[in-house]
Amino acid sequence: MLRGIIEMLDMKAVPLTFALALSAAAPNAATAAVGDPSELLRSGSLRNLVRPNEAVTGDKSGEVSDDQGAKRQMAQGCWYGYWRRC
Amino acid sequence: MWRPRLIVLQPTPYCNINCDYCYLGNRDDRRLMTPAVVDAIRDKLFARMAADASPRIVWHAGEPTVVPVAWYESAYEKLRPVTPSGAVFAVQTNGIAISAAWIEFLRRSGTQVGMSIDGPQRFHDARRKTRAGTPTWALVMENLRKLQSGGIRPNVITVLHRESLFAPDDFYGFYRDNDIGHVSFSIDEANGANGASSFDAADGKAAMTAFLRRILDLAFAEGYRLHIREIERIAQLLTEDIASHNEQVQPWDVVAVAANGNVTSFSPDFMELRSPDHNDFCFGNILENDFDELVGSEIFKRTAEEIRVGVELCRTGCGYFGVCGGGSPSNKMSENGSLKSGETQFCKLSIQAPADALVEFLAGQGAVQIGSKALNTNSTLQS
Repeated sequence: MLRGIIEMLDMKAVPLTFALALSAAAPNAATAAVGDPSELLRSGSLRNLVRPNEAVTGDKSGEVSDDQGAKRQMAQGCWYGYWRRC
Repeated sequence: MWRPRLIVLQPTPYCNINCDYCYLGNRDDRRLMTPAVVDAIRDKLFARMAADASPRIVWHAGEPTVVPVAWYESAYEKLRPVTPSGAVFAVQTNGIAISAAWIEFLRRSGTQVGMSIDGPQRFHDARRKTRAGTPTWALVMENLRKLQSGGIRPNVITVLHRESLFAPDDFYGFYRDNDIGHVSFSIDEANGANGASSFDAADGKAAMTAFLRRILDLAFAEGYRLHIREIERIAQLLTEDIASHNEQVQPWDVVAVAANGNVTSFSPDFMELRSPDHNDFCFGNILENDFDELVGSEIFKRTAEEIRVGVELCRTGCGYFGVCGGGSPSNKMSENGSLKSGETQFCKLSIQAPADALVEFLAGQGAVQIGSKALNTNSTLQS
């Protein structure tokens, strides 16, 4: 489900970075509280911040299915790949 | 079955311009990849891929658009039938030779476009020059507009030099004003044929962090949907429960084939590195060796083991390992002289600075809280 939300945001051309920032302004906003910044630098540390955000998407209805998300991921190829020269 | 992430194919080493910081040492070589090499790529590499593989296949490592469109039409005719449906073809170009015929081909073939533009004119023209030494920005921007008019929105790669970092507002305005929505920041690196970097003299990490943070703040404030790849990649990692995937340290996640058929893996930049101890990172030639021979070559195995040792150094000694996965082997080799090593300028400027900028940005927006105090929008990261 989470991946579906992320893909939905990306399909609407909203940078995930901005979606995370906007989540702070949402009602009942989640906040990731840590003692040290390095605690954030691990996989899944901000999972609780990602939610369907009406302010971002303007779309109350829907999430993209995992299957759609996977296809989207494939279509992106290495868009978020590590090598930076392509 | 084999599921590569990135396949770099070099139609020619030749480049039609001569940037000051280019890492490609053979950019005067007008050799063209022969039909026999394309056939061997099809039969020995593409035919080995799993049906559900989704690699990005990039024409790169020279200027691909100096090769006639007809050459690509022939290559696609050979490769498409054995290419997994999830694969994406792309071309990385300097934009100089983009013609109407090229735009039509890119649209028809569904080939994605990456374009190298070093931001505002004064930064771009300072180093990206023709072979006669004349500036290229005006021509590149004209061709960018032609691509955009043709419905193609290139992903832009911008190489930053030290002085670039003091003009984030200018860079942000450039992307916004030219309708560029996806950008990736490379850094001027001492790598391959480029022996020195403008970052050699001083640690640029703080300046790079501030540069990225400022662009994020400007874009967010204006609602301009600018995707900065290095930051989005890390954001995706932090929001998904998956391990950081660094394809440059995973055997055969990356394969690069030179115009003459030489094959390397890990960092595509290995094609440009000279290391007698590693056979210049050539693990075989696609005309002479099948895939199993490439995988089984002694030089490949030794290189893989040295990279593994280097990754373990990163794992035990670097606080950014969770969003990195072990650095860039080609940078370790170029900067540290050994694959069995840790931090490089690439680490500091392309991994650590984006991570810090993202955390600072999120803290500034109140999405994360560091320590016991909430941070307001003007605060900076403090532990």
